[in-house]
Amino acid sequence: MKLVTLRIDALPPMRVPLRFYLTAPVFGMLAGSLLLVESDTALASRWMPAALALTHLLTLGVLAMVMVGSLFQVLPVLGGGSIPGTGRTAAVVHPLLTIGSGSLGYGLLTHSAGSLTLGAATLGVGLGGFAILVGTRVLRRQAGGDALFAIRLAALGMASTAALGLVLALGMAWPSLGIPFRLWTDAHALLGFGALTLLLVMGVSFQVVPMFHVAPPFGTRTTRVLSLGVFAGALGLAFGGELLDPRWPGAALGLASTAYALALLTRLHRRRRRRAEPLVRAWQLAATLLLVTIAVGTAHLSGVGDPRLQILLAALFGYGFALTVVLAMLGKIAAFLAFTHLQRQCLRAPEAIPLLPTMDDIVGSRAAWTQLGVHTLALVALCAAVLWPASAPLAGATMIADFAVCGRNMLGAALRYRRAERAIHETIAATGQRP
Amino acid sequence: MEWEGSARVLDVSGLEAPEPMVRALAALRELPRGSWLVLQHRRVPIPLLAMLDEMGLRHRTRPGTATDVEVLIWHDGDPEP
Amino acid sequence: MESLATFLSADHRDCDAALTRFEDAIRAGDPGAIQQTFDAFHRAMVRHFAREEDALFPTFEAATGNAHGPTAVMRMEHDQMRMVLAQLEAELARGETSRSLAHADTLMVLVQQHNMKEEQILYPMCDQVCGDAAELLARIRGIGED
Repeated sequence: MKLVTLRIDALPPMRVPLRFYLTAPVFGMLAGSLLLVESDTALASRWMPAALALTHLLTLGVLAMVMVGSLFQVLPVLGGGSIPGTGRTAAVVHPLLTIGSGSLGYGLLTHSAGSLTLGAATLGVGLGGFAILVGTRVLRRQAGGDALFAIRLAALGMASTAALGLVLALGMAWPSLGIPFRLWTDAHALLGFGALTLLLVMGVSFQVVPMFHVAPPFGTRTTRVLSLGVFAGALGLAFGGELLDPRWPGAALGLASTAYALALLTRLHRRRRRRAEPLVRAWQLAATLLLVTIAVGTAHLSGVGDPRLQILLAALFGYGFALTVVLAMLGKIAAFLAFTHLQRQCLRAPEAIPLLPTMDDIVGSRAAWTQLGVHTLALVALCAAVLWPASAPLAGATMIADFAVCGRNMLGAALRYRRAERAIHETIAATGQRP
Repeated sequence: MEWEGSARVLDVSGLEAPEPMVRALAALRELPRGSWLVLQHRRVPIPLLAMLDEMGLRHRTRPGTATDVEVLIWHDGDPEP
Repeated sequence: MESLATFLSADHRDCDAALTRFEDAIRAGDPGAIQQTFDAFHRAMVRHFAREEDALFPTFEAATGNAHGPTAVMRMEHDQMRMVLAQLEAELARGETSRSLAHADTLMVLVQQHNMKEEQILYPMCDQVCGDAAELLARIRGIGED
């Protein structure tokens, strides 16, 4: 029964997700600065050095950074158990991910073999290891709700995306390896977006949307069919090669993700908790952006040859669908963790209760609305810059603003947490000395 | 830009990213059918090669004389240089 | 036969609905409705806590011989929710509706992450280890029914 104890009270220390949450906005602002400086080429083609660097600063330095940090908090709640060695694991994965995102970004920008190799090695160990750890130690058990089925598949997606990425980075650093760079890049991108990012967001939403917004459940069968459809579609598109007409897996991926987006929108529409909070709007925006992504993706697969479509797809899905949800969830998770840790300290010392902030005091709803607003602007500016390259500097500037807001919110949460914790400790110490 | 028979020679080996790619693409936009571009580079430009595939251009990489690497680029359907 | 997991998960949903009605009443601003919906929500929460702490948890602890395991954590989380409920009630008495909404929001998050753990992990385990589930379920049902 000891195992159960560990699994059910797996609240990670505040510093565990926070170190990821404070690093992500730095990479986001770096990405924005790169877009500002390399505005001529960063969105011109996906093979441009600045485009490759920009993509990886955002997907690794921001998306993966926040997702990995959040899984420490989210997995135990979703019934998956805690990540083994929580604090120590985070202390290893976080620097690997930070060094890896930075040096891979630099290596892709400058084509430096040393940076590419260092990036590949640190990310391979960091992300690959993390995916294997999560997949084998946390998700292997039978328990867990609708979320875990999708998250298990996403862990598989993460491991294969990381493995392909490792090979690609080494292939770029060492051309004599002669790997089929273009084909494997497509596979890497498809798995990273479809089999990892989409499935992870889906999995979390299956559980979180019905519960937090008091909405109808998705139903176990629906969640499994949708998750399998997305996974099989992404896998088929990535590896189908000559064997498979890409329209078949493309249709599976398109249909499953359309059905998911519509299911998400109807659940949100029928939610009983009518409060219009930023998180609800973020989910609605994300679902809508997923539908737009699918429309653009369908045009791309049916042979509309404009190379800008590929960039637009990445912008709509990565910066639109995924980042919109991630930024909104980030604020909630940081506020919840800070609150619950502080409150547990007050359980033993009721006299400290008046010092306890609410979640809204830690990351306020005004801060969350600002984040959502600035993020939407940044997304519009990014999509505009794909279509009208002259506006790329504006996209870079709004991207910096987007992550500056995120960084300010996270830093604010960290400082408020420290201040409240100190005040609570002082009160406990003062009352403890009384007879 | 120098000429060498029906080939154009472009040396980008001394340039920092993204200039090699930008210059190569600019030269390729003006590449007439039947001729080819000899791109002199200090390394094999893997992302550029992937991009050429997408643009319907053919390429071959060989050890260079003036620089470490030379990439020969020509239109699909033209005779291989 | 209805399982413990089914019955208690439905009880969670009743509490969620009650909290939602209370939040709606605050936003509508009718003082009578605010008090009435808060009382209903408060009753639902207290009854659910009693169903678990007085019937389910002791049975689980006796069956597994472990009083310091998951049930101890769940009791602590109940205490956390009671604390926010008390803060919420105090703000309400002061007429601080925006503070009340902030506490309600905090409570909602606290409740839901707790519910997920119970519904994913604890309830299914109770269904496995709690022996005569029909008798236990009858007792749980009886708590707070008047």
